[in-house]
Amino acid sequence: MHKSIQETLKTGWIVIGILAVMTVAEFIVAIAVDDKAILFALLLIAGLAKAWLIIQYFMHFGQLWEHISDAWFGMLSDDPEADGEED
Amino acid sequence: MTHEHAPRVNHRFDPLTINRLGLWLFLVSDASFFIALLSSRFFVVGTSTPEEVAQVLGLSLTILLLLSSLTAYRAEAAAEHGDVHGAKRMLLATMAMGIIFVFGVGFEWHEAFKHFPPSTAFGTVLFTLTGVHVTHVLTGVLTLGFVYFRVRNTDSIGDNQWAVEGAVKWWHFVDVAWVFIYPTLYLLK
Amino acid sequence: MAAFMPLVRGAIYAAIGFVIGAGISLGITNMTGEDAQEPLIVLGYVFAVIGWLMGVGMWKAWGRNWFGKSTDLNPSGGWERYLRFNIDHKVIGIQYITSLVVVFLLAGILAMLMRAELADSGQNVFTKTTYNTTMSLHGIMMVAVAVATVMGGFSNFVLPLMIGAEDVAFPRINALSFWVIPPVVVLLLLSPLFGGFDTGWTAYPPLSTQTPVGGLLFELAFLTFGISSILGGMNFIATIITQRAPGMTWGRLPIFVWSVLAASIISLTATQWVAYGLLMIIFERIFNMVFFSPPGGNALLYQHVFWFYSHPAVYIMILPAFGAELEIISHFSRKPLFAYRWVVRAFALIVALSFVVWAHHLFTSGMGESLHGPFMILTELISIPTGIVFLSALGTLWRSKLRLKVPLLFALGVVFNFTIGGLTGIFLADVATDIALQDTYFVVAHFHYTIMGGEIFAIFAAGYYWFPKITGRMYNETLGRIHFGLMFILYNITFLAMFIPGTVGMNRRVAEYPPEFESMNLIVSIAAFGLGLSFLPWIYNMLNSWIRGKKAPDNPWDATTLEWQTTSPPPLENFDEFPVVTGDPYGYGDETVTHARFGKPAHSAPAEGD
Ligand code: HEM
Ligand SMILES: [Cu+2]
Repeated sequence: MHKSIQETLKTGWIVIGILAVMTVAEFIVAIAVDDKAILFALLLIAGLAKAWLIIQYFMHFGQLWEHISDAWFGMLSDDPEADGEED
Repeated sequence: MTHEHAPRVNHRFDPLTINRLGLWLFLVSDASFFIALLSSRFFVVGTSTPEEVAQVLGLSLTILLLLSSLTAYRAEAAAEHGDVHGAKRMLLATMAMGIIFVFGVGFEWHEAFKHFPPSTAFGTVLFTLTGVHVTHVLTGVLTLGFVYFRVRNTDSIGDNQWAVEGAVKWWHFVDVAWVFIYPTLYLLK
Repeated sequence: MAAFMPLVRGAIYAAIGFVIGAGISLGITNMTGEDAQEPLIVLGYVFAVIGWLMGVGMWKAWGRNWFGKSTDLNPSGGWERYLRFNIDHKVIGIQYITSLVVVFLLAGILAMLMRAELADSGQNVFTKTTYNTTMSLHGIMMVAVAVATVMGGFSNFVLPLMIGAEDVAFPRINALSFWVIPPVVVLLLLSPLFGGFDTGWTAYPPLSTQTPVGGLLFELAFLTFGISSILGGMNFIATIITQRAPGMTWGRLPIFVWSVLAASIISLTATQWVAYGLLMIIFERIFNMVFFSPPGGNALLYQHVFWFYSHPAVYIMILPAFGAELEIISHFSRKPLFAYRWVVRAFALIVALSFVVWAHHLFTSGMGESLHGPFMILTELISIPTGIVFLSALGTLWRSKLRLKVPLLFALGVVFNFTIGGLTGIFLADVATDIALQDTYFVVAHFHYTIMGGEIFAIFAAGYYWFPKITGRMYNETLGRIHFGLMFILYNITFLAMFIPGTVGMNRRVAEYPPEFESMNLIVSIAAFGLGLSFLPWIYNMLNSWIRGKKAPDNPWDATTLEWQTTSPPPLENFDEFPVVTGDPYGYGDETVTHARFGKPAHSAPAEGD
């Protein structure tokens, strides 16, 4: 589960690189596109993509789910013995 | 972090996971606040953006905040790998960028006052969005400051692991909010 | 005396905080040359709240921790633990309930004053402004009672017990969400001294941006209250996910727990919207921003934002009320809850739908006509899940041998009253009829049927039901029945009669009205005074039984759920032996089902966040 620090740092650089490129792209798109609605849609998509990158790679949303999901689904079973023993 | 009750029955969730869940829930809540905030822009001024908006400043602030997310990320990674000194350095760097960001917004406000004071429609939106956001940035700097204060004299992270992680997550969240505020304020037509 | 020290210290720190905040604000306004008064109040208040919290014990229990110092949580102690920052969920539950009962009684007195004014068509008790301030105060105080008594009070006390937990997931945040309530009450009570606010609890601009300082106090109070609901919602969701006893699967959660989960989701996300609405008003007052006024601003923005919270908020009130009602009906009819799974689905559907119906409050506001149809239909769709809850209650009661104790009487009262509340809601959801009914006493009667008839009756049901567990004593059954009988009958006379002036067009929020409505209003007023008096046996019964009542057994109702399987009142750790859940919570009439067995803990890893 533990990645090496180099790998972690590399992920960081890649993500920030993509974010920077996308930000500049947004800026250029905003100059180039004149249609209000299309611009809105493009910026919304870009924003969602950037937010997803940060949430997934910087904030480790997946990690939370990994920890919760076991017990979450364990909670669906009605067998008291089966549930509760896993750790 | 501990609670002086006898040990509980439940053994499925470690305190770290519980803290994470709590923080995520709070972030969901705060995100609803930002959604409300963003929606008012469209109510008050539609999608139009005045010419005088400081485009270069906006772009620079955005890049700065993104970069501070990288240092925050590295602070967390360092802490996780037991590198306290790296963590401290990165915490300081993040706080520094946060403070520069606050001054940047201050400068922005100084300019904005001339073109669209708060009593105009666009000024209302601009000052509210940036004002609420910069308040979040300040709380972020403050939280990071607390964490720094706690680890300043130690060589091991010890039980400050969650403190680092929580503060960093909060910082990233503030960044996510800006990811939407930036295009909403500066780029729409 | 020492017991009051935390409160005294809180008050002193609050005063110091106020001076600091006001000083900072004065410095700034001096520089910018703005009007000093309202910024001073806002900033002073923010610092005062921080001072208050630290003074009542948050510094000792939590604040020191931020600086890496040791903290003193000290959850135990005698009655003085109710007077300080205490992290035991049972203490916090009692703190909530008792404070909100006081608020309820104060707001009730305001209602009596209003009915005195409305007993005849002229003006006798109030001026127009003082009437409206009274009405607004009554409204917001009762809304606070309805939102927080079950969620903050009863579920704080019983929910961790019901899921076999030792406490909530974040005990310190839990204490924080209670201790911001006293500032709310203080602000609201101060507001009449500062000119009051005649906007109603809905605070629509532009009026609300122009009220005297009293209005600002109200807005700050509402905002603070929102913080409490948000943190409470967060805490309950985390608690329900992470703190259940082994074997407490989703399908075995008592229905009350489900209802609190559903309401928590709403308070977590919706409350932020009203916070933003109030913030916009404060900004407009202080910075002359133009959210709602020309150029550009749009008065409808507030109404949308406000109802995007406040419609879901009515479900923060009613969902836990449904939960308590069904819980009590199942235990007192000695039958498994009918259609348990469908009720859970219905709760989920209610949560989802509650977010997409807000504009039914705006049919006459001038919003786009094209929105009328969709919002009418979406609103009426909510009757489907609410119908399911109703059928579950009836299905559980069907052919059962009822134990007609006071909690059940009140629960049946909820079923009856909410039926009327829900049915009259349909006329308001229907655009054609709402155009005529909006802003009349019909609306007032409708929401009193849902909130008072539903939620407040459920609060009383829950109060009698859990009284033995909370206090360790039994209440007096006869007095309880007298209370129920009087309250049920007088309540229904008061509010059924109120529909009539509404349908013929009597406006709400007026101190004076055309003489033709006089006879109906007199009936309403007389019944309302009776209704007010009907609480006297209750007050006497609660106080007397708490002090002198006979000792309650651990499980006076022979109920199956976990809170009854421990002592009354429960020990600090809730259970002497740890529960392992093995079956349904409502296994009545089936010998093979036991909800839980108890034993020594198999594992022992503390798990609690903060
Ligand atoms: C079964 C479903 C319900 C329907 C269809 C319904 C419908 C409505 C509608 C359309 C209005 C707006 C009336 C107007 O201003 O013209 C309204 C007002 C109101 N309803 Fe309901 N409602 C329902 C249930 C509830 C519940 C469960 C509660 C609270 C627990 C509630 C509390 C209120 C309140 C407080 C108002 C008035 C708010 C104000 O203007 O001050 N309603 N209802
Ligand atoms: Cu509504």
